Amino acid sequence: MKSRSGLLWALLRHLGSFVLTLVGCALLLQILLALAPGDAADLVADDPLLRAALIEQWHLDQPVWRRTLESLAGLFTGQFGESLTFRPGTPVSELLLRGAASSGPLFLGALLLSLVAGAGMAWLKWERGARLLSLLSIAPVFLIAASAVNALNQLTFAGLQAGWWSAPGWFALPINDHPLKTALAIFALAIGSSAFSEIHQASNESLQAIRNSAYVDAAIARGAPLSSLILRNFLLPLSAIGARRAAFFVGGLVVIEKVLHVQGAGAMLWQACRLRDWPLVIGLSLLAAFVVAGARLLADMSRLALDPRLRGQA
Amino acid sequence: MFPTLSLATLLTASTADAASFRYAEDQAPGIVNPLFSTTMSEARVNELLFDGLYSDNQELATVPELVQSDELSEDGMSLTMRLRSDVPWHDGRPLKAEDVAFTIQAMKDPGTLSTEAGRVSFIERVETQGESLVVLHFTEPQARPQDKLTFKILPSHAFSGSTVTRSDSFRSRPLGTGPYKLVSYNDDNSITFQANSEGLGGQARIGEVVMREVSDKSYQAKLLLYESLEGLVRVLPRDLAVLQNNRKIELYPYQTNSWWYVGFNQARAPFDDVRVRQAMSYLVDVDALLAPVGTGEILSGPFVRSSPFYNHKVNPRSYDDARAATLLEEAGFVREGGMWSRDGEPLTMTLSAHRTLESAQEVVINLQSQLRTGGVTVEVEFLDEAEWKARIWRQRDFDLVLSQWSFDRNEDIREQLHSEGARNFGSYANPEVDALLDEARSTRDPQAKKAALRAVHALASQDSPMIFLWTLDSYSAISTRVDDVVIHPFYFFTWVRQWHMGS
Repeated sequence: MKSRSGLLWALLRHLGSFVLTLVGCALLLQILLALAPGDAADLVADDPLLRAALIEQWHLDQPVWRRTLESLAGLFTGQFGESLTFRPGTPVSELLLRGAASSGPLFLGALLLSLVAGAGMAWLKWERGARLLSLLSIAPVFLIAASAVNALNQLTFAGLQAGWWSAPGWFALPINDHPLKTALAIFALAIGSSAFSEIHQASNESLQAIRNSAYVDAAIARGAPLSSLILRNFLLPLSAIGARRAAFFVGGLVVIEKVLHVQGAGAMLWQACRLRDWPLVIGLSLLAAFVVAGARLLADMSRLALDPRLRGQA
Repeated sequence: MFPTLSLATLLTASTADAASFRYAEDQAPGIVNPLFSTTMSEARVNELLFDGLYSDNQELATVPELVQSDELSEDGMSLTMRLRSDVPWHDGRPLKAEDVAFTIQAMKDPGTLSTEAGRVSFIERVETQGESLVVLHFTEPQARPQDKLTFKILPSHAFSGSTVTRSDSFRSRPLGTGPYKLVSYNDDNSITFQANSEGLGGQARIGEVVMREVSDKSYQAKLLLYESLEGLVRVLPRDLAVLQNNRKIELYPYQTNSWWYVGFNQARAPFDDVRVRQAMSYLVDVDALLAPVGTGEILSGPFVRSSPFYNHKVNPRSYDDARAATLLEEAGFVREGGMWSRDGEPLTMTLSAHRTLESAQEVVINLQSQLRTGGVTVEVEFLDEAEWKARIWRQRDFDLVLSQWSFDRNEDIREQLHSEGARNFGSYANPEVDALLDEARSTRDPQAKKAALRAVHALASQDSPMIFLWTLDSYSAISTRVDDVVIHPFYFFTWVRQWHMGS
């Protein structure tokens, strides 16, 4: 009974931390937006009277606390108002869905690829391949993407000029939407800016610790199958590694979508900031915070559910 | 009968090309409604979709577009226009006088919050007589009101009242009478337009126009080289050489009414002293500043050299550090250790530049270096559009600005140089200039207007509210697959109907 209430308390603690993260995020965002130079009315109106009317119409004169409450309410209702300058009049929720539909596959694809590649090579002890990818991993995401686009375009164009081939469907990157562009975005995001090397190193350390643990020694002594035991124990640190990287990939979306001309949530956030479209900035930022905090919550819950020691402590 | 009909059909029918004309914009229009346009990309899209009562011919003279005939009253207080009867909206409904009345009323309606309201402030009221007669009554006598009636006309039947809002669904499903219809606003932010078969003068000859959003300007030229685009609205100076040497691309030079300047905040010391402003202009070698960013014409005042208002008797200032030193000493400055100071305070200032101004970085760095050599310390900051509007335009929180002004063919500089001008953020005030600008705006005599504005030019050069720099040579780049291209220097697509895809 005591253990069950402890578990409930731990669950509530994690949920509370999740909610507090979102509240803090909403408050911080509103403070930052209030401090940012210029607003949407500045962009649209030169005439002071028109500007005053727009400020009133767009509620840009509301205090920070009220806007924070409204944005938090938006998290529960899914309503963040209408876009002011990016797509004037379009509901932010509609733009969020559109952005998430483009960015979701990139985010999940990059997360999966980085975990499979990083952890897989650590598991298989494929050092040569890992060294090669770690070397590439030093390069920032935008550099990998831009270099690949440039190289592919130049090479294809040279071939076209020489009459060796006709223009492939993806040519010229990045303005044409094509699966190759998506694959390139996922690869650059999963590998670049040290994503691969950090996941590989963390996986290596976790696997090392598991392989050197007393329960593995005991299993060896018993002649029990090791792979499933190690894998089972590796899944928990792997989920923690994935949760840690989620924030990085969310941030990376802004860069990769800008470079590869993907009309996802990242590129939308960039544009919304530039155009001071605060309702859209709030919606997109809280969506990002929700994903990052949600990934952490999911990892914590998994650990709580799967690790008997943690359940005992709780 | 049959052969006659066939010949007539062949002679009159113009068929659209199957191929697309794809052009690039840095930023896709957020809103497609001429009442709320704030960017050039929106203005270009409006040109494809809508017509005005009047437009420009290729000599840039005002000619009727939706108007069949007109008559200005003797006192210049009203204009009666008969609309063309052969222009339907994209949905097939006929253009009516009430559409013109609706558009003007919507622009004037305070509830619309139109950014274009100022363009119809000279119209007191609109009267319609029947389906095709419109009478405009003005607030004061007008000499050439047609020049101001180039704004786009909207269909009254697409709206429910006289108030139009930015969020109206019209923003993404616009309806016009222009040469193209909007087919789709695509997920990749591109917009596809299809030739309007019933537009003015028949169907546009290129079947489809596609606007692609390519935010990286340097990449736009590459896409043109790769034949993934057919048109580039404006070529960056650094891309000129490579495009010029490509036989599949043709460069089209055009004259813009845009000029660069370094503006002073005259509400702040020491720029409230004309001697300091003049001294600064003598410390700048404009030729050396221009060389790295392209070719153009150095200016001595607030008009481009081809303008009828440019005062050719006023010469641009040349670099003259001795003259600058004299002026600064008269203003109480002393030079110590190579740097100027007054009352122990060094002459330092911040130069704010617009982040999106092409080649601004090169100009700013060279300007900073020139002024440092002249004994003035300059800090530099780059501001994005919103910050620029807030800090420079609204709060007037700056020392020096580097920017450019672009004008339509009316070249109305009143807002920039009149003491009550909305864009006079440098707080320039000269009662003589104010009077001349008021006269230029109100007079019905073109010669009097020219004389007044030339006098403004001379006074502005003397007062130096800004260092007038240059007008850059501008080029569009179009694939040689497109023939009969003539580009409007401001709106680009005004004469797109005649463009066609060649072999």
